[in-house]
Amino acid sequence: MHLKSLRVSEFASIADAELDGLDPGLNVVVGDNEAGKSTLLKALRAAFFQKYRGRGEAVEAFLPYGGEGRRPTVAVGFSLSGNDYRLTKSFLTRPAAEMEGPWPAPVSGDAVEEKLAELLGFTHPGRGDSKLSEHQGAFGLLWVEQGRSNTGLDIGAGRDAVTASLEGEVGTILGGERGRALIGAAKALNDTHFTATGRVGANAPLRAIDEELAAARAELAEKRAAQAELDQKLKRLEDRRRSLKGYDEARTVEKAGEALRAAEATLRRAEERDRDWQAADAALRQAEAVRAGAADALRRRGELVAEAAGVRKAYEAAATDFAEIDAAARAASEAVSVATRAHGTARVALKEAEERHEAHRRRADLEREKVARDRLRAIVAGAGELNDEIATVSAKRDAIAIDQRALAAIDKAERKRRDCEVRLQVAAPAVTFEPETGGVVRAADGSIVAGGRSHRVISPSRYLLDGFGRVTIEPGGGAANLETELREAEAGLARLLGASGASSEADARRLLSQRQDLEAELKLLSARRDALVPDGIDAARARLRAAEAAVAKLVAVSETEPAAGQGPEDQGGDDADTLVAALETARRGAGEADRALDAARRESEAATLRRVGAESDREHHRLRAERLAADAAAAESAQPRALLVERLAEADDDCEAKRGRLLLRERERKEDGPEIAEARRRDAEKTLRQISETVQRLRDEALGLEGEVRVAGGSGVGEAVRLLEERVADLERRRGRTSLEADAARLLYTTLLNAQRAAREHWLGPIKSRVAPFLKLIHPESDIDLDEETLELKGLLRAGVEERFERLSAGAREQVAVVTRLALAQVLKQGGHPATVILDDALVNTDEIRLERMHQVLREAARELQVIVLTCRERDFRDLGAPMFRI
Amino acid sequence: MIRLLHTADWQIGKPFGSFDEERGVELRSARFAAVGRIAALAAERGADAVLVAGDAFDDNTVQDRDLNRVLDQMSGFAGPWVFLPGNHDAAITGSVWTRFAALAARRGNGNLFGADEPEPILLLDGRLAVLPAPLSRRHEGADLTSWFDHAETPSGAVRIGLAHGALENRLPEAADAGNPIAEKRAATARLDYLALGDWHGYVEIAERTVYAGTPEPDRYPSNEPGHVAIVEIDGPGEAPRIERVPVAHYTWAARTQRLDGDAGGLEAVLASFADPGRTLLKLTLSGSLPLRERVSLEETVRHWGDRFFHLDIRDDDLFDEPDEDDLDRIDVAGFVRTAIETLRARADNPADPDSEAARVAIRMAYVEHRRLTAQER
Repeated sequence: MHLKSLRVSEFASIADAELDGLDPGLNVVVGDNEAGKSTLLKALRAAFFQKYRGRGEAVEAFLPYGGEGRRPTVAVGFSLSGNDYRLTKSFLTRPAAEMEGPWPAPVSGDAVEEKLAELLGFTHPGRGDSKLSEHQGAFGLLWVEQGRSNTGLDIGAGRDAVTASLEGEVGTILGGERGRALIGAAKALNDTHFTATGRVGANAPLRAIDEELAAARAELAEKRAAQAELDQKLKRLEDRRRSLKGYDEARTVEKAGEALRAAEATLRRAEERDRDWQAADAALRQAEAVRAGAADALRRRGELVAEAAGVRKAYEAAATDFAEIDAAARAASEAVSVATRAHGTARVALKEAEERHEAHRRRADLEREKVARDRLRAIVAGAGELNDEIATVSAKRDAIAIDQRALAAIDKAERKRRDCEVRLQVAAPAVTFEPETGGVVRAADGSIVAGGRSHRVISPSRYLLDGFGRVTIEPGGGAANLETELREAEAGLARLLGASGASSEADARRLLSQRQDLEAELKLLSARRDALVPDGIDAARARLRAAEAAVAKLVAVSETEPAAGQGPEDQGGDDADTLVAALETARRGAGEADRALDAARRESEAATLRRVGAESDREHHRLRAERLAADAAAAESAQPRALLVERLAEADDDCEAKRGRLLLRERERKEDGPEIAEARRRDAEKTLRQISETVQRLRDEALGLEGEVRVAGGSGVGEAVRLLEERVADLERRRGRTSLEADAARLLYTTLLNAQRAAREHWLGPIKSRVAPFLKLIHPESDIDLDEETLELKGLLRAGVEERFERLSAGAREQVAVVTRLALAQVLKQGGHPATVILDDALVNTDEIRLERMHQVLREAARELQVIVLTCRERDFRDLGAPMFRI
Repeated sequence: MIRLLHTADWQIGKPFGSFDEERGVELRSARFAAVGRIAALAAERGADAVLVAGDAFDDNTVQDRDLNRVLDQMSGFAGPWVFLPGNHDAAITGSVWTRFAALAARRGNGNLFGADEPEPILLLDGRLAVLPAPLSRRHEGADLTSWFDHAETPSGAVRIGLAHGALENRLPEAADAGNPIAEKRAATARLDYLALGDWHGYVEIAERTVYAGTPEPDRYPSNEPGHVAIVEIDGPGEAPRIERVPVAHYTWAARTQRLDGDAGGLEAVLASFADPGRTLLKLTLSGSLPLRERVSLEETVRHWGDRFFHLDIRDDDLFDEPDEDDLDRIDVAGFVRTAIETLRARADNPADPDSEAARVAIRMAYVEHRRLTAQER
């Protein structure tokens, strides 16, 4: 883009100003303060970007002071892409716009605005001009107003203004605030569907649809299963019904019933035949019984006749026998009478003999008892004497108190005493008094002690020595003790002796011996007495009393029979033997008589019995013979034997006939018996039952299935299945659409992000590479640092050290900013954007050396770009070698 | 003279699962109401009998409650109702007919005739002989009407065939040919009228042979559903007088509209429906629209979507064609434009798996941009 001319009239502080013939390269516009340089820039902006019919504060500001009714007008001549344009806009008062260009006739009015937007690549804001800085697009970047010119680098302005400005301008290139908003919106859309990690979100519509779909599919599967189950049941039901129909059509049950009935009829017939056979059998058995009866009757008749004859004969024999036996019995009875008489005689004789013998025996007994009594009397007396003697000796013995033990104690005491005495004799001092002649030694008791021999002093002893006085000797040590011991021993012995009643040991021994003799005598006396009465004298005395009683008793008895007893006793000494012999004879006689009587009686009894038996026999035979004869006669008269014979013959014939009939029936029965018929009936019955059961089962099953089907049949399961199928299809369609929307949201978001990133990369590199040579001119060895996200100018890298932009000096900041803008303009131009750089007092803080270098930078930049420098300091740019314009 | 009302394909219990619940319920209810209108019509016209040529029920498991509702609706006509089992309600074991008959008996309805055996049904004191060809499974394969040819009927009786299936060589190829019916059956069986069901549109398809169609439409094909036939026959051998009587409540319409660059024409199409509140419209859109038109289309669809009973827009073949104007509206420059260009390139590349998503993404960007712009103002 090449700004060629600019004419401004009645625009703010400018009444009329014109720049004409601007160079496509570097231009310098000089004006003093308040000359309106900045207004020129404002007018230029207004021409391009402000709608001519616009109102509002910004537009009102176009009016000159107190310029009511004035008509701010800007006319711009420029070329773009090889075409020349001339643009005129008047504001507020009769606003108008017109533009000439490479078209047949100038355009005017609103069309001008549209053309401008199209040419310069910006969008008019819909209403108002609040976003003018944005909507003017890249020009905001390049046309730097005073104050903002320090590219926001104005020292007075805050850092925010600087960066916001730059960012805002760069952001426009990148898509602007709206681009970022769009990214935000796209992100929101994307986030509706996806999580940060790109998964389908928990609250995503797709998730909801998927869940609904899954539920519907599950329900569909369930319903389909139910339907399949129902179909299955229907199929089974149909099958059962078909089977039943088959049974019905084939009349299977009826046929089986008929077969059973036929079998039952057969069975009944067989049973009849069986009964016939049984009847024939019974008839035969009856006939046989009749025949047997006839035969038996005949036999019994024969037997009766024979028996009657036999019995008659036996009767006659018995009568003969009886006669004989009767005679014998009478004889035997006579014999008994004789024997009885003999027996009485013998008995009397025996009794007399016995009496005699008894009297004799009693007398003998009395004698014997008397002898025994006398002997006992003697014994008792002897034993009494012996007892007296024993008592005497015993008293004597008891008078002696000593015994063997006492003697032993005495002996021991004596030994001890003696022992003490001997030891004392040894231990006691020996004193021998040898008085001078005449001298007498007396003991304490006054007795004279013999001299010339030794005396044992066993206790303190005082001696009276004539002419001398008294001497006391005291035995020392053991002697004194021994003396005590001796005295104790003597006392012990004396005690023992006293107890025994002995005067000395020898006396004790003698006493003991005497006692022992007495005891021996006692023993002897006792032995003698015991021999006499071994069981004691009292027993002997009792026996004596018994013997005396016996004698007394016998004497009493013999006194009652003086006569009888006297006789034989008087007959002498051998009377006893005679008596015994006579007794024996009498006894023998009696015994024989007894036996004879007994024999006779037995004989008689036997004969009587025989007679009775014979008589009974005879009577029995007689009665029997009579009865049998009567029986035989009666039988014969009732049924003569000939008749019986005839009957038997008849019965034989009947039997034969019946036997023949039975054989016939049996043959029949065997041929078609009830067992076979019964088996057949059972088979038929079983068959019928089986078939009936099968049919019943089928019927039950069909009924059951019908019930189930009735319940399930009206469940609307088919409708539910199709409903769900349709719903699933609908959900799938919705899912497809939602999925597509989700994909689209993601695609939009990622594409926008990628594009944003690409744009940054696209701009960042070229800007940096273009900034570098400019920057080298003013700040060698340095590099700029741009924010990759916002393209914000962050700072300078000098010799590897990062210096933050806001901490740079004001001069450095404006230099860096201008350089960066120039580079941006170059990049924009290369990108096909219209680019003219206008710097309004942009380098006011720059020192001379750097200003010099900046001139070089500007010249360098102006080779590709139109650069218009607005300044109040002409001399700063005098040497630039650029056309100078004054206002 | 005998006057018959011929109907078919009530499809009671059809679920309408692709509709939202409220509409599904209304559509299901409409089918019962149609039966009520048929009963009223039969009574009003003094019909001698109502013949239902199959598929009265959509499924053999239709709920007893629904059967009762049907019986309720039928109460308006006291004459005989002859029901033929069709492919949807074939007289299989455990079919709806057993329950239907039981319920009717329970309610004391004696005017129900289930034509579930291939044997003549004599009505009106022998003046009317109905020869039914009941389906005993969904697809019979064979022509069940062949027995009509040899069926003996009283000499004075009008012979009416009642069948469910596809008349050979007459229906479009798309028709279900699982249950064929000989083309000349009416003639060969000396029928005075052959009442057919299965085809949901009303069509007098051959001589004395009519598909009554469904009385209440249940799908979009434009084959004139929503009618019944009133048939008058003076006597055996006399030509029938057939009248087509509309009974439908809802109109099901399918339209296709091509939009090229401009969505404005759609408004007229949508406005052309007399009673949108009773209309289900399936609108298939094709062509291409710039984004601004697409956005305006969506507004139009939103508006009419609320006015129609149901508006089913199928726009799979309608493509966004963003033009410069659209893009200028998105932004003058910057990376946004670059992004849009990228998306456009992808959208235009059929080989790109995301071309469809890219198209939608552009529209989204456009809509969002417009929204943001609107917020700014």
